[in-house]
Amino acid sequence: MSDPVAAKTPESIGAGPASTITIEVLRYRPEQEDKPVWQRFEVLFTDDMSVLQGLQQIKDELDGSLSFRWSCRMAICGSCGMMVNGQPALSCKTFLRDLLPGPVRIEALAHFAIGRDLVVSVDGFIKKLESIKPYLIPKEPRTLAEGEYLQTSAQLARFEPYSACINCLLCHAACPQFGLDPSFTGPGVLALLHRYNADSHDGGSAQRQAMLNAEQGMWNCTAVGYCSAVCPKQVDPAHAINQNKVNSAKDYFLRFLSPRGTQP
Amino acid sequence: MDDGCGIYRSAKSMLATCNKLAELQTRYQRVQLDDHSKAWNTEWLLAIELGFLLDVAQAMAHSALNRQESRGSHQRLDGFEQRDDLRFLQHSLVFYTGCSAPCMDYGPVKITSSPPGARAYGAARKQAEAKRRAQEAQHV
Repeated sequence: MSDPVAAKTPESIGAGPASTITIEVLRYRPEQEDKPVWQRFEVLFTDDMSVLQGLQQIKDELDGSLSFRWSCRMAICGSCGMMVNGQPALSCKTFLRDLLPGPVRIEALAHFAIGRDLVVSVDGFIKKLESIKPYLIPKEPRTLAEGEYLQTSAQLARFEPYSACINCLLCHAACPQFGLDPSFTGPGVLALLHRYNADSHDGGSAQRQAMLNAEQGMWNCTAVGYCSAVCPKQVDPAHAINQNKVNSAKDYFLRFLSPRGTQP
Repeated sequence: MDDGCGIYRSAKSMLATCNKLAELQTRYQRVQLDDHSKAWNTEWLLAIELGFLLDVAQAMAHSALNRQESRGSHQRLDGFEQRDDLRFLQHSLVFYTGCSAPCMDYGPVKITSSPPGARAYGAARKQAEAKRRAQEAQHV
């Protein structure tokens, strides 16, 4: 493991004296290091700069080999999730001025394998996401000529908050249970499962029930609630999981009264 | 691109952009990377994208310079303030040549339900609509 590389200063890149902030990044280059190492950078700092802009300055001016995912810069794409001072955050939505005087410590998202620097492997998440059938399974087949599926605003309100998920994985990085047991479906995937189950257009809840009730499904959740605290889109995965626990328990007991349970 | 090929443009500003892009293409030939690794090399990815960005920017700037009229968000302030359907109701076709400037040609436009027209506001709009209705009435 090598020592952190000596910090480059704004002066050394020809920018002259200015107010700076120290950003420490956990680097991991699989062809170069066996273990992740910390690297320090002095970044020219203005009040309007996000953590992502700080990283972009490092990449443009100080070290082009720093790798991180980003795209929209406005908390819509969900690409730039990382650990900022130990907490899962979107780096575009977190501002350096709120982290003064620094140093700001940035690591790849917790609970995921690091591919390179701040880039994590999302394969496991994508597999889980696919497994819960994250799409509308029509309740009743209908031809085009029969027109639209109508929905009241009350029906919309039942699932609409959960449809705001941007798959940024912050809730998975926040979840202590997912940290202990990577096979746990995880808050984000369960919230999306609920988004479709709770949609009045959808008739697929029976198909999703097995995934929900599986050992690695919602019952693995220990109701810590940190997932909802870190969500940048106010999706509230913890509430989605709780609602499913209630529904599932109801379904389990109603089975004794009706052979078909509460499922249509 | 913003300075020379924004909504309001002139031959002078567009030519300056074309020249700048040619210069950047030359500089791009000498682009170098800090990062030579194979795992998640985003610097390499950005360098590849930059090359294509320059190609697309050249296609836009050269086709704009060749279009001696104003249309939509292409508004010329240097003597070509009007739409010229006779010469330019055509698609600009730009061909990659690998040199400093792309090769230009034009292709036919197929008008279906929305023919091009002047964008008018207020009284001018009412007048234009009345004229259009009168024309439609004649055809029916």
